Amino acid sequence: MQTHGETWVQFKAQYYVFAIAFVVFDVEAAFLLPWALAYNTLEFYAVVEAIIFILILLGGLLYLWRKGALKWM
Amino acid sequence: MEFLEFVKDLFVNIGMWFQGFLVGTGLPDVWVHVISLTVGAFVLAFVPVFSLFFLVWYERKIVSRIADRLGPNNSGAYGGPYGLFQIIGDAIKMFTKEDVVPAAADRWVFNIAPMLIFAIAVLIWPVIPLGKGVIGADISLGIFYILSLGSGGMVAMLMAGWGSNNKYALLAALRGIATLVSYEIPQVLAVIAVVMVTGSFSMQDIIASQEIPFLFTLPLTALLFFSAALPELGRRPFDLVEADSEIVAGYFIEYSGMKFGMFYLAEFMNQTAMSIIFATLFLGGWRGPWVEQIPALGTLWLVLKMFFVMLVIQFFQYTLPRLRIDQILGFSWKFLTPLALVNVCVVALVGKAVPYNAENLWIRAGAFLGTNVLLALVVLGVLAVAGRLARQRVEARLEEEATPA
Amino acid sequence: MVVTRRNVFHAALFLILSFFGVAGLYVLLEAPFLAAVQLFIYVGGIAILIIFAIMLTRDMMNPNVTGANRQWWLAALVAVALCAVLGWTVLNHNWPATPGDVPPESIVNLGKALVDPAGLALPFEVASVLLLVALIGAVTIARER
Repeated sequence: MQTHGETWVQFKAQYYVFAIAFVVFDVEAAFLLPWALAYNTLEFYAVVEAIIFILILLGGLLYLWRKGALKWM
Repeated sequence: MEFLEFVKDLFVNIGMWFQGFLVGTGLPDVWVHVISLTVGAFVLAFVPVFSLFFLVWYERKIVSRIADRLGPNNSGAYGGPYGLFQIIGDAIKMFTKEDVVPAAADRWVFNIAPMLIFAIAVLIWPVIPLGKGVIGADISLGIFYILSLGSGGMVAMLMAGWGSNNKYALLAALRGIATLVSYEIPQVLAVIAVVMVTGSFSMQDIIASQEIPFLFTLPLTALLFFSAALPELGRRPFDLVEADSEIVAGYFIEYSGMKFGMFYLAEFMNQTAMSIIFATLFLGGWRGPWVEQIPALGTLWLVLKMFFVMLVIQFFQYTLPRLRIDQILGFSWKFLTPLALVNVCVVALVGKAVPYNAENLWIRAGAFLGTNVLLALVVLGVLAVAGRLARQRVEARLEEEATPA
Repeated sequence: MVVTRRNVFHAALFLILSFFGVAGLYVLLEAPFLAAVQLFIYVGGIAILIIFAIMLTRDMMNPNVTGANRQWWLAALVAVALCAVLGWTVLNHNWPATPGDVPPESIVNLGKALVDPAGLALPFEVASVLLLVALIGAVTIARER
């Protein structure tokens, strides 16, 4: 990691991890939005599908957490 | 009696009278439309700016009462009654300060940033329902439009931080963006839960479907939205980006005069807008007693709710200490986001278990409330257990270190 | 404007401007939901990602690219040629012009189609796996320092 100038704080790679995690969950939210809009007209299996979707990504978040990618900043 | 009828639905009637007036002057239809829209846009843009005077005074009074002092009152020479004119004095001071641009700053980026942030703060207002028929533009994308505008705010923050050519400003801007970005997700997920129950993004529809305000049927969602919206506004306990006493105004260090005024205004307008949005989403917007008969009363109810939410926000700001950046981000990613995801799942399940029809409205509301409270209790239980385990671990380690010595 | 700027950060800002432009195009094509999603994801997420990547790899106090591409004139020529070919094709083709009324409840239909087993349910779930892969990739970045 290169440093930027003498008094500069090192630009942590941690910022980038947070940005990627944000984009991933952003896209997930964008997928959930039309589903939420159509929620009242859907059958039960649609809810199950969406829950599977959410659980997969929740698992990803837990993986991030356990691997320590959410630390220090 | 006719005047009373006019006043009953005041704002809608004023609008219709104005349009009738324009049509009466014989202009073609297109011009009538354009002129009435332009006037409406001006009014909509200026009302929050001018009401800010009152709101800043309101905040100052609350802050001072919390700190056990009096705040602006008429003891100053230009204080005015209750200190109301003090804010005008502040505004004049801000206008007349010298506009310093750092020599090495990037002129374009530096100058555009405050304009952008102010533009975004104003753009939120057309979509907010201020009364029964009073809304700038009831687009079908209501709440989602507001969420997407938050992204523009991120860009403006970045531009401000980078354009200042100042390492501290850039650092503060980056941390600010990390905060904004981390709290966008739980906010959107909380909104998704509300949209699920309502079935529409449009703000008027969300209000119309709140026979029982969502605060009482989905309290956990409301809490989530509030916790996620507070850092978006940059308010303590999350105001690391503009920590007044530490980093000296964070990413707008280098701004002075009117540009700083724009940032300040924009932040305040965001706070006001967020209060109104919270009132719309969770407190029922302009709904209240007697709104059916006197629709103009709806605006009054909305303003009261907005003041109440702002009161709560100020309480949080001025009574809690500041959190560190890693605490802020950890709180979002490790607590709010999983909780928001699980909340969406739970609300989805319950919503399908108790289907929507007109009779069992109360049962449905009760089911939502019950499961939300249950979820909250489960979370508290998990936190308690985790806390106890952590404490035991720390104590065990302390004992280990103490015994050889 | 994105590719001609020497200052990388300015290039990124112009990229954000073009994202706004695309969102505007979506609005003109009567797809406001897509416009909002575009703003939400591209400007709010991907632009931030790009800017962070720029800051990660560059000394911010000296952000000008040294411009190591000597054959930019060739690239410009190819781009103009491509534009000409595309333009000629677009203008001379007989497009079956359906006026295409947008159904009023398009977002709801999109939501229904996303979970319909005979519709987009499989891509929906595959997308979640794809996002999971992206998350795991992010962890790899964080570890390989």
